[in-house]
Formats: sequence, structure tokens, C-alpha cells
Amino acid sequence: MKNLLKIYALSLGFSITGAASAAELCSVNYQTQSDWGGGAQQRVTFTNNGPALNNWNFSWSFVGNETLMSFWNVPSLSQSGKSVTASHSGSVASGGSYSFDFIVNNPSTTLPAEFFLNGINCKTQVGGSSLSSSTTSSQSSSSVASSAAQTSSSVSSAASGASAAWVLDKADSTFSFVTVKKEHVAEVHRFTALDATIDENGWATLAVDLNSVATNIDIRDVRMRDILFETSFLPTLYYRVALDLDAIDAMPVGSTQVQNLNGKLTLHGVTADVGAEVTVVKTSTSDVSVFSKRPVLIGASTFDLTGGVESLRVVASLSSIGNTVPVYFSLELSANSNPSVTAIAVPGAPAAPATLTASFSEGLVDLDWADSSNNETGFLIRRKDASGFWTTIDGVANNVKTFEDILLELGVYDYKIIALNGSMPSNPSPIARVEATDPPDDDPVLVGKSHYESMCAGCHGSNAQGVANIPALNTRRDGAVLESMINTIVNTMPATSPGSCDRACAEAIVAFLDATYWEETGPELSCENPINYGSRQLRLLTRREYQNTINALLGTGFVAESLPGDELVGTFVNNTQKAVTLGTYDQYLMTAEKAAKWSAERNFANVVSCNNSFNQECANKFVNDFMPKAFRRPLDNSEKTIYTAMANGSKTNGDVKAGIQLALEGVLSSPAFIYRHEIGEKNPNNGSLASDAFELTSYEMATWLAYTYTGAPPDAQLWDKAVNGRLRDTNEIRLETQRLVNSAVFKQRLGEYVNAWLATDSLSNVSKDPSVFPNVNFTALIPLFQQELSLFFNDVMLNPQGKFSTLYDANYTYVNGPLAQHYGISGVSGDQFVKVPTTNRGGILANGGFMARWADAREPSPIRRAVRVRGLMLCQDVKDPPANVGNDRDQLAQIHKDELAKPTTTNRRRFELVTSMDSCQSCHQYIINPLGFGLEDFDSVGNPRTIDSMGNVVDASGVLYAPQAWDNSYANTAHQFTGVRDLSQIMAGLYEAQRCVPQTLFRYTMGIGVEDSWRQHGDYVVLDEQEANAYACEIEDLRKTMMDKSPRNMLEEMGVMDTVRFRKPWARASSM
Amino acid sequence: MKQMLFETDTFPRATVSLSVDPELIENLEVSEKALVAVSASVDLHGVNGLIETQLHIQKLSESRIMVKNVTPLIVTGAEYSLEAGIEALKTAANLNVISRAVPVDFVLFYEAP
Repeated sequence: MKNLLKIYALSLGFSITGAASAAELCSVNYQTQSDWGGGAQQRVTFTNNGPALNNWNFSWSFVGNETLMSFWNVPSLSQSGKSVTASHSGSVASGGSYSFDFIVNNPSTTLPAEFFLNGINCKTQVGGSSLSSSTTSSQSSSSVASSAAQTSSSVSSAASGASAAWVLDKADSTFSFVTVKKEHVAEVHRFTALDATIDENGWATLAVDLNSVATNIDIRDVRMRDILFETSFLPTLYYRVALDLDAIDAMPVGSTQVQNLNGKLTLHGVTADVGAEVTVVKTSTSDVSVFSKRPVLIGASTFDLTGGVESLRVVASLSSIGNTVPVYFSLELSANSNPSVTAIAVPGAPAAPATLTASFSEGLVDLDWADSSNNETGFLIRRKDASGFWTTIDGVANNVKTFEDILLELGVYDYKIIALNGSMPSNPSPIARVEATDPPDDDPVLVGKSHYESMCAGCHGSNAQGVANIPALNTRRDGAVLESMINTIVNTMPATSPGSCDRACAEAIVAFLDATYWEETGPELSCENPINYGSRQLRLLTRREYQNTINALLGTGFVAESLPGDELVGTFVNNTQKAVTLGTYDQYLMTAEKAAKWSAERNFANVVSCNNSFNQECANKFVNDFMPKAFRRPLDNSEKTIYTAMANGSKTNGDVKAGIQLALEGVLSSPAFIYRHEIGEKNPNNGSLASDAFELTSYEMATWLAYTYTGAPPDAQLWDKAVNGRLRDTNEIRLETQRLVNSAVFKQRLGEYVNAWLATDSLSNVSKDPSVFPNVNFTALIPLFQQELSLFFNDVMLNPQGKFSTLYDANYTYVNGPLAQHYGISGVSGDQFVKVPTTNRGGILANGGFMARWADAREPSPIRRAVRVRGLMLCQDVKDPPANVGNDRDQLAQIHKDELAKPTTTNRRRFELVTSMDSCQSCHQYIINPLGFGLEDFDSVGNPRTIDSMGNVVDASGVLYAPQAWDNSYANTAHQFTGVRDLSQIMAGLYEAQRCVPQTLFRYTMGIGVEDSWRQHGDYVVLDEQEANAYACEIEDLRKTMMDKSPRNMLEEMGVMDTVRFRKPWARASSM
Repeated sequence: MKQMLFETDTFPRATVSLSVDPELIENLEVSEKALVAVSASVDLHGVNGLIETQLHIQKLSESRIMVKNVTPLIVTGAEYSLEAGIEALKTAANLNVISRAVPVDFVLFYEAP
């Protein structure tokens, strides 16, 4: 342990010891008690060799870049630049010593050498006779001292404050105050979180967590925290006072003493002298009770609280609130015998900003101040207007030296800046005054901020977080309700004086909320390009699309059963990256052959109408009328020549019917048929198109729209528009998407879509244990779960008033008789599905299908649920478990086999146990387990539960960490929730959940993900950065459309996306 | 206050009486304390009132106890017919307002005879 004796004189090359030192004003022992590299705890002891001191200060300069962090055993220790000053109103006798302690950051290896007592250098001689003789230099001891001063920082014991002589018995201590409102209504309030210690030197410190204010009314608690105490900036109250410990020790047990304390109260950015007359009762040899003999009166104006009191009065519509508050306290202290219990360390007060200037121009005030401290954690900006009250405008981070304020009302304003170290303020800066002579430019966000703070924050919270049953305003509102929000404000707000916020005011408030709290938290996008280009591509028809196309062209009845299987990307069928190979071409050829034969047997009904006379004219009709529909575009001349030569019988011995059959076989196996073409052509008439870009033709647009919205080839109307070249016009395309979104087939596709998205289309992959669910016929429930999701999703996505948030927070669902019975919903019978209100289920998360799909036979699977919520609903790329996970899991199962076997071990605990190894924890600790465990209140067959299958009580407390990204910043955002419905409420307000809806749809419709890579055959297709950016921009546009207008509008707008209409030959890399 | 508010000529004394289980006090060790809920009857200004509150009772020695309220009590003028007196005080002191609600805080030490 380093214990460096540092007598200042040694560094000057003097050896002064013993009596000689008494000849100087003060001798100083500056010790580093412990040093942990980045910081050190140090203790200064000085001995006063001069006359007795009263009201002294003691100062020195740090040698390096030390920053004073906290201190104890002295009432004030402040730093300004390198200079440090301790001050005390107490006394030090002549020959007496005083010690105090502090913690610094960035400790220097060289300790201070020069000290001043009351501004006088400690080495000043005070008349000791031996002084002159002491100047004999002793080089050797000097060098010893110097080397000792160059201390290394190898000691690594942790910091600890001074031992506390007395500590607070928190349970029995009280701290109350009484407020009077409306002149005659007095109420008692308490702070519940107190701490107090008395250190060995008799310094008593009381610290009160102002967030713990308890007034018996939730909203009043919040208002006191937010508006009065401003706890987000100033959470702690401190009272520091010197006590005579010896006198307390000397008190007989049972006796009482009255003490007049003169301490310093730090509250709301102000430190002021506050006296208190207290009764001290020695209740045992090791206990004292200290309580207010008479109430301590705290004046609001002393602590800059008058403005807050007035704001409280306005928001609570009170005629008055008293400005002087009596405070009552009763502190029970016990003598401390545990040396590791330390006295409360009070942060050092920063030096006050030395200068402040304010300049006014067009409604805006630019403030500039000097940052005179180096231990500040931030600055408070306070303003005083004509009301005469100081109000806190804002807080800024440490080292910030400027602020821009907006003044909506003309008049004279004063500003002051307070540096803060935690809750410990500096003195205020000098006051700067401006006169607002003209109004601000109408920046609605700044105006809205000011309106919000004066009219809304009292109820909705200073961060729009909502209070009790008053709604939060900090999550994005769907566009459909924005207008009604403005109307609500105009007509009913503020609740205390409706009508005082006009339309411009309401719009400004909404603009402020939008800019401040509804800000996009997604990835930084650069969406400045005039056009977001999609990729030129061919897309192999899926089996479903192939079948639908055959049905449309040949008539229904032929079943294409021997086609190659589809590609599954994520949970969706997606053949965008799939191509016909030599191996699979045979299957297409064989299918084409069978289909052509099947059609020929029906005399090509639907294909070509020849009235059984298979002649040249009929062959021409096939080529000219049928083939363009099959190729979904006009034929070029060589195709016409080749197919005419087939159809007219010249290759089949003059048999035209056989020729048409041969040509049909060729058509159905041709790339023009089995691929959807999204290639485009140059469009010199479109000047904004890049030189290497292509625009989809009307035929290609008809094809894209048809397959996207109906899963089938273009219908008559689309085809007609394609033939007439009308689908390169935004309005024409939009008319078509609006028509298609309204169609029955689209509703069916939406139903299939949501079940594919949530993988509930493969519910038959899971089974349920009949011994746990004896009355559940799970197989019979599967189509009902799917139909429920389908109807619900249709309702939200197609209702013109639909909202994104409903996808998660719906209070209704669709059930028929059997499903209602399974859910325990009464009053529904029969097979017809009806819409029913719900309280314990609703939305795409809290429903039977999703919950059952991601559950095991007996109990839920928290892991799979969490991974699917992240992967499917938040569009996070959830990594696979490490390769050796099986071994670890087996090992853990072995280690914990006794606990796992117990029936009292909950499902939650089981999963905790089998993921408790380090290799698992990197993902499970934050990303998976806390999320999945919070979903434990839905059982394995999709019903809410409080008891698990073994009879144990379910604990569904959970945390959603890091909804925004899979990285190490998870600790930054954590949403706590309990149960599936609670998580649903959170999801309903999450940007990431919003964005995932269009992101998933985009992949579905375009076949390409926005992600820079996605999995396929264990292979990753890597998009060009610009291509990925273009898609991200499109998705963001879709999200905004969904939020500002409606989900339905977003579906309609997908057809006019740039990435659909305009294409580039993006380069793709394929990497293993 | 004596003349206008408390009218001490007529009502020189206010009494607060409450019953505490003597065993409770007897059973306390020295320096031990108990939190008790009490109903105290108050005779003030000729009016009998009732105050429900919590008290800390602590035995300081074999012959001395301390009785202290936990948080201040709020007493209103209306409860003890003090409103007219408050009005009179207000007028006499030329004040805009005097609150009719008053927080009361006390600590009492009792010695065994």
C-alpha cells in the first residue's frame, strides 16, 4: 500500500523535519490512499502551525489533468482549472490538524507540491526560531522524497470513501413536507429514499432521492419530479452540516439535546445556507435520533422553485400553491462498526461559468458561456421572464458552451448558466439579459416545443412518456389519427383550459412531437437519389403461379404435379434466385408435354377457338392471339416465324392440331413462359432515368402487378392496359393496384401471406401432448388458427382506417364456434367466423396460431418464440446457435438433471438451466431468454395461462433488449414487460416493428431482401451497396405511407415503387 | 392568537388524550421503539375532535419514554370552529389570506413518577 508522505518543503530541496516544520504556516501530508489507474483516492492532512483558524480555506494546484470527482470530510471542495480549494467555516486550533478525502480522475504520477492556507503559502515562516537553520539543503533526502513523489499507479485496490461513524436506519427515518394548495388545503408528502451518514470528523450528510417523492397521487408524483424538482437533471437533494460528535458521544443514554445546525442545502441547482433546530436524542449507546425541533421552512424562491410551483399550479388548475414549505424530518442513526460502510461521497461543486453572453435575433437567443470547470457533468440553462420566475429551459452535456433558445413572446429575459456535477451545482454564471424585439420565424418544431412544455408536459410528462392513465405521446401516431389529434388538441386541450391552443398551436405541438419523439430511429439512410432502382431480373414461376397460369391459359382441370420444388427464403416461397437447370428442365418439358396433350384432347378450349377446323387461320390465331398472353408480351418476328412453322403443321405432316399441340408444348416450356420478366427497356423520353437504367414495359408492369397482387397472369383489364401501353403512367398503375387490392383473390393472398410470414402455415409440423391437453383436438384447430389470422390481417391491412398499431394491440379477433370454445369465448357457435372483442388476446403476436406454432408439445418454447419475434416481427438477423451447442446442452442437462427432473421446476427455469453455459449466454442472456420468458403466459395451444402444465405459477416478466439491432448496445434500450399482451403493446409503438412490415412485404413482392445478404442454400447473395440502399429507402417510404396514411395505402403504393418500375443490372456477388 | 384565535379566556387549555396499552410500554426494552396507530381525542377551542395517526413510542430509559408523530398532522380550522378567528386575524394583520389548514408536529417526553 502506497502511503506517501509528502512534505511540501522536500520538493523544494529542503529537509525540514520535526520542530523545524512548525516554523512554517502549515505542514501537509498529501497521500494517495489507493490508485486504480483511471482514478485515485487521495487524502490531504494539514497541520496548522499558525494561529487558530476560523473559517479557513486551503488550496493547491493539481500537477496533471486531474479532475475532482467527489469528496468528503470537508463541506466544500471545488476545482477551477487546475486549482483546488477546500473551505470550511469551522475551526482548527493552533497546532491542530485537519484531514479530508477526495477522489480524482486521471491521477497524475506527481503529487502537488505547493499549498496555500487562506491564500498564504504554507511555507511562509511564522516565526519559528529554527527556520533559518532548517534551510540547510540535504540533497540525499530531497532525492529520496522526489522519487517517492513520482509514484507509480500500480496499486489497484478499489476506491472507498471515509468510514462512516453513523449510518441511517432507513426504514425508521422520515422526511416529509407539507404543501398548501387553494390556500386552505394542506397535504403531507414524503420522500421514501433517504440516506444519511456522519463521518468520523462529524460531517453529517443527508442525501434524498427526489424521485422518491410520494404524495399519494401518481400524477402529482410525476409532476413534482418533472416540473418542480426536474429530477432528470437534478435527482438528489443534499444537506451537509458539521455536528459535534464528541458531544453526541458524551450524551447519556436517554438524554436529549437541542442543536442549532448551520448547514448547506443543495436543491434544484442551488446551494444555500439553511439552519435547522434539531433535537438529538441518545436512544441507546449506539443509536441517536435526530429530528426537527421545529419545521425547517424552505422558500421556493431561494431554490429557483417558484417557476415550477407556478407551473404546477397552472397544470393542476389550482388557485394557489404556497411558496414556503415546512419540512419535517426524523433521522434514526446507528453507530457504524463496519469499516467498509463509507460516508456518503458528495460530488464536488464545479466552478461557475465565468462569463455568459446572450444575443437576440428574430426570436432566437444565442447563449455562449465559459466552461470554467473540468468536473462538470453538464450545464443547466435557466431563464427568467416577465413573471420573475427562473425556469430551467434545458440541460446540455459537459463541455458544451452554447445554446439556442427561442422566445415566442416579446419582452425582457434574463439567462443564467449553472454547471452541474451530478446534482451538485456551481454558483450561477453572471446573468445575461436580452430583449426580444421581434417574433421568431415560425419554425413549428421550436414553437411546438415551447407550447408543449407550457401546456402539455404537466400531464403527458416532460418526455411525452405519459403519466398514469394519461396517454404517452412519444410513439409515432398513424397518419389517419394525426388530423384527429390536432382536432382533439384544438377542441379539448389543455384539459385545464380548452380552447387556449388554436390550430396553429396544435399543429406546432404535433410537429414538435413528430420531430422529437417520432424521429426515425432506423439505420441512417441516404435517400437523396431521384430514383431508387430495382434489379433487372427473371423470376421463375412458383409451382402455385405456374398452376394459376396454366389455369388461366388452358382452363382449369390440368394439374401440374411434376414440377421442381420451390425455394423457401425465410418463411416465404421465393424463386427469385432459382433457375432452371439441365436436371429440372426435363420436368418443365414433361409438364409442358402433358399440358399440351391435355389441352389438345379438349380441342384447345380457352387456348384458341377454331371450331374444330384446325387450319392455317387457326394456327395464326394461336400465334397472334394466344402466344402473347402466354409470353405476357408481343412476339418478335423470329418467334412468330418459328412458332407459325410449328403450329401450321409443317413439322407434323400437315396436321395443324398436332402442330398447335407441339407449339403449345414449346410455349409452356419456353423461358418466356416459365420466367416472369422484369427486364425493362431504355426510355429516352424519361430524362430523369440514369443512362444505364431501364423502365419496365407496360407488359412487364401488367405481369408484375398480376403476379404480385393475384398470384396469376394478367387479367383482361391489365392485359388491355398493357396492350395499350398505359402501365408506364403512375396514375394508371395506381388505379390498377387500388382495383386489385379490392379483389377477393387479394384477400385470400393476404391470408396466405400472414400465415407464411408467421409460419403458421406449417402448424401441422407441431403436435401437442394429449395428456396435457386432453380436450384439445389440435389438428382440427390448425385451420381455425389460420383462418383467424387471415381474417384479422385482412381487417387491419384492408380497412381504409386501419392502423399499424392494431396489428399488435388489437382488442378483438375472429372466431367460429369451435375456436371460441377452445379460447373460452362464450356466445359464438357454428362454423362461421365472427369478430369478437377480447381482453386477453388479439393481434399477430397474442393469438393461438403463433403461440402454438412456437411451442413444444407440453410447454411453450421461449427460445423459438423469442427468435421468431426478433426474426419475423423485428426483422433481425438472428444467428444460429454455435456448432457445439448440442454438447454443451447435454452437459448442462447432466449437471442439472436433478433440478430438471423436479415437477416444481418451471419451464422458465428449465430453459435458464440448459442455456446457462458461457457459449449460450452470449445470445441467451439478453437477446433470447428475457424476451422468450416474458411470453410464458400463453400456453402451448395458444391460451393465456397463469399456471403451467405442472401446476407451477407462471412468471412472465420479460425484457425486450435492443429491438433495433443485434449488437452489443443491447443495454442501451430495454423494454420491460410482463406477458404477451404487454409485449404487444410495446411492439405497437416500436419503429423496428413498423419497419419490419414493409420490409417483409418488400421481400415477398420483389423477391429480394433489403438486407445486404440473405441465406440461400447456405449461401449468401451480397447486394451492391447502392442496390441495398435503394431498397432500404423504398421500405422507409412504404413505412411512412403505412404510418401516415394506412396499411392499405401502403399496399396500393407498392405497385408504383421506383424499384418496381425502374431497373438496373445490379452486380451481385455470391459468397459462401 | 390568544385572544382572537384560541380565545384563551374561555378555552385556556387544549387537551389531547389517547390510550396506549400500558403493557406495550412496559414490554419495551430500553431503546426499543414501537409504531402504534392511535385515535386521539382532541379538546380544542371548545370542540371535541378525533385525530387518527401513527406514533412512534420509544423507551429511552426505564423511566422515560418519547412519543413522537411520524408525519405531520393536518388540522383545519373548520374542525375546531377556528375559522372566524382566522378571519379576524387576517383582517387584523391586514393579510390577503391565512390558510385554514395547519400542519402540527409534536414530540413528548414522559417520565415515570
